[in-house]
Amino acid sequence: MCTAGGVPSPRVYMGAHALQSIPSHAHRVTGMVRAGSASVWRSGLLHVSWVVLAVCSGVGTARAAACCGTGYGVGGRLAPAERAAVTMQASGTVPYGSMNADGRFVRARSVSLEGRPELSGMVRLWRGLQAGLAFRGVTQVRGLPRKRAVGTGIGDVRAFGRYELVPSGGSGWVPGFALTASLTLPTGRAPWAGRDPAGADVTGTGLASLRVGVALEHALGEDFFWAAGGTVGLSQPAANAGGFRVEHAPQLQVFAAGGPTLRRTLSLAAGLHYQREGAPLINGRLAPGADRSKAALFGVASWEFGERWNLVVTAQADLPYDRTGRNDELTAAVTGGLRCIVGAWE
Amino acid sequence: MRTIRWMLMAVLAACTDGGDGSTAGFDETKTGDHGLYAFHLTSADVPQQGSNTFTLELTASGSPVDGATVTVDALMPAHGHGSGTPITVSAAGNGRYTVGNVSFTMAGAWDLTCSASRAASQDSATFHLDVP
Ligand SMILES: [Cu+2]
Repeated sequence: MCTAGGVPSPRVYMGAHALQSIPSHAHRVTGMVRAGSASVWRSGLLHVSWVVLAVCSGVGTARAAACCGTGYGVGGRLAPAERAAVTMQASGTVPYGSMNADGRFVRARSVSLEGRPELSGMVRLWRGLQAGLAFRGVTQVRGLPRKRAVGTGIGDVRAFGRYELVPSGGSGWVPGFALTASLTLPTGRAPWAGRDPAGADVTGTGLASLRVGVALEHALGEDFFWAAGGTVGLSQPAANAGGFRVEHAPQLQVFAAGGPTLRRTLSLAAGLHYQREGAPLINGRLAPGADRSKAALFGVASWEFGERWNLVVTAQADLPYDRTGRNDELTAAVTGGLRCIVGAWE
Repeated sequence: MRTIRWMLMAVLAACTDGGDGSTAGFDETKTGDHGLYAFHLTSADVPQQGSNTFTLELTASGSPVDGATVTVDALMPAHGHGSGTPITVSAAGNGRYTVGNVSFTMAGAWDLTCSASRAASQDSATFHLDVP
C-alpha cells in the first residue's frame, strides 16, 4: 500500500471495529479536526478527495433538470479520514436551448433561471461504506415573452451511498474503486402535476429512481489526479403521466475528469460528462425517435480554508453538438458549495 | 480559467449561430393514421413555453368536418411527460376547432396528437413541434 502526502492509507480506512487494533500512537478525534493534524489535512490525497467529490456530486446536482429523470447517481463521498460531512450548496441553471429529435440545436427564445439550494450530509457507516441524504429546494423563473412565471417548492429527496473496494486515491498504479448507488424519491412536484403553463412550479421528476454505478479515482503523486465513472439508472414506470403510461428505458451516464492540485490548497479539474437514454414505452408502444442524449463540459475549483472547511465552485455547459445531443434541454450552470467536516479519524 | 472561458465561448457561439431564427407561426397538414381525415394545424405564433392556442381544420375528401369529437394531447415523448393543465377544444364552425391551453412546460421536442371521431369513424394525427 502506498502512502500519499504522508497519510498511511490502511489506517485511515479503519472503521469503529478496526480502530481498537490501531497502535497506541493513533487516536480518535470526534466532532473536530485537531490543529496539530494540519499536515494530514493539507495532504495531496485529501485535496484529490475533495475535488473528486465535487466532480462526482456537485456537477451532477446542478445540471440535472428538475423534471425528466436526469438525477445523478455517483453521489457524495467522504475523504479517507473523514467520518461525516455536511454540505450546503446553491446552484443557478440557465437553459440556453435544446436539441430536437433529429439532433438539431434549437436556440431558447425566452430567458429562464432555475435556482436550487441543497443541504446534504454523509456519514461513514463502516470502513469503506458511506451513506448520505440530500434535500433540495427548487425555484424557477420563466421569462416568457408575454408573461413571467415563478414557481418554488421542495425537490426530490435523494439517498446515496458508496462502498470502496479499493480506497480512494488508489494504491500505486491501481486506482481507487468504489461501487455507488442512489435512490431518488419523488417528493417534488411532478411535470404532470404542475399548474403553471410554463412549468415553473415543476420541482421534481414524479418518479422514484434507482442508480447504481462504479467510480474510479486515482491520485498521481500529490499534484495530479483523475477520476472516471459510470452509472445506470432505472425509473419506476409512470402509471399516469398526464394521461400517458410511461416506461422509461435505462439511462446510462459516464464521466471522466482530471486536474492538478496547486500549492496544496487549491485543486482544479476539467472533465466531460455524457448521458444516454433509450426511447420509452408510451402506452406500451416504443416512442419512435424518442431516445435522448447529451454531453457536457465542466470545470471544478476546490479550495480548502481553515481546518475543516472546503469551498467548491463548479461551472458546466451542455454541448450543442449534434452528434452527442438529442431530445434534451441544454443548460449552463454554476454551483457554489460549502462543505464542513463534522467528524474525522486521524 | 481557460477551460471555463472556452466553455462560455462555446455556449455563446451556439446561442448565436444555431437558432432557426424563424418568426412565422406553425402551419402543417397531416393525413390521419386511418386516412379518413386531413388535419390542418396552425397557430399565429411560434409555439413557445407556456400556454399556446392552435386552430385545427378538419376535412374529409376536401369537405369540412363539423360536429366531430376532438381531443388533443401534448406529450414530450423522450421525457415521458405531458403537462398538468388540461387542453381545451371548442368548435369554431366550417370544420375548424380552437385548441386552447396547450401548455409546453419546457423547451424541446413535443408531440401534439389530435384525435377526431364522428359517428363510427375515428382518426388521429401526431404533429412534431420543436419548442424553443
Ligand atoms: Cu421534459
